[in-house]
Amino acid sequence: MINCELFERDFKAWQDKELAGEAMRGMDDHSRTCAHCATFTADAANLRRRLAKLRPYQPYNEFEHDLGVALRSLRRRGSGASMRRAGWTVVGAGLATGLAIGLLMILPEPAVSPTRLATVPPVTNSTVVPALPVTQPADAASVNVPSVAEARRDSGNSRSDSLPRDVTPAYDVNRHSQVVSGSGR
Amino acid sequence: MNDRTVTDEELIRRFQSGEDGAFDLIVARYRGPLFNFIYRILGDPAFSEDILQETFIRVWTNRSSYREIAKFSTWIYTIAGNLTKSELRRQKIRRWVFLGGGKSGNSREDEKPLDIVDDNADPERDLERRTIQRRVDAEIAKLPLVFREVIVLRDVQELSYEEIGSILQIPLGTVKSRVNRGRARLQERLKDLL
Repeated sequence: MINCELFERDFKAWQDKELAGEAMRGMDDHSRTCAHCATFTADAANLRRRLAKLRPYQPYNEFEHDLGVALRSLRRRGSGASMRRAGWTVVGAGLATGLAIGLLMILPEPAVSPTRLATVPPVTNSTVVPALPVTQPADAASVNVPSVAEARRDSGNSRSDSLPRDVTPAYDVNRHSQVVSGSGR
Repeated sequence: MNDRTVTDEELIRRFQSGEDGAFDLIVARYRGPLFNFIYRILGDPAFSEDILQETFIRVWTNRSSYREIAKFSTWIYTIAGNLTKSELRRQKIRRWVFLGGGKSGNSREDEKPLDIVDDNADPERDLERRTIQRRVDAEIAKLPLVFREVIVLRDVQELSYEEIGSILQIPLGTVKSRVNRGRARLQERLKDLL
């Protein structure tokens, strides 16, 4: 048997027809026989009607126009931001390049590594004129630089490729041998 | 093209593929229902219009994130609902900060309600209708938020329980029980009008 309390508890399920057959019939009977619950049912129906018929509110007339303006400004800001991003990328790349060049100019030349030395071709000439020291001492005059003639004498080598530049080799056809002639002799 | 035979999902698909005109149709379809929803939750026309605009801007900027696994109406109502709740939270904080948590002078009861202009209405009947409307609106506005939002979505916007559950991210059973309790409270308060 359904009383008013049970009726109100199951009222929504009854309205939505979600109750089982027996419970549904019990609710139907109670709504017909109980004046209080009949009024409750009628009030509920009226309320739903009123709510459904509530006149709709509308936003102001220029809403679409203002929305369009907001969207255009948003798009402009979006494209402006991408332009700014591109600009900053260029500036960043320029700064990085400048920094790299600056570092190359400032930093001392790195010492020749052993691996690099290994790639230098071997010197075949035995009469190598001694090289000047890389760093000149303060008193350059005190350094005894050997002359070309002294170098020749020291090495004891008479090969033509070690002669000074003003001595040129000539070929004597009669002797079938190479002689040396020049202004120095 | 402003034909209801074109579904919302078709419109958003066109919009996603670059047809800006489809967005205008979406705005035309949803500006009214969304404004009603937001205004009835928030109770302030100016803030409601701001939230409505923000909702459409979100649709515009996040159009690619919509997938057709949910109805478009659910998606757009979810955006509007989340923005509205955020605004309510902000208003609560503002009241707390500026008025020390007391009753604000800007409470819903003090706000001037929006008037609806009806050009071809009988003035007497229109006045009566407006009076009733204001009363019903005021009673809806007095409901706690959890009941207010389901009542507006179900009885004013006439969405299905399933849609309401998706929009508010609550189980179907919770939607139904809230609708029931909200209606019961409203019925009690509007007894003299029914």
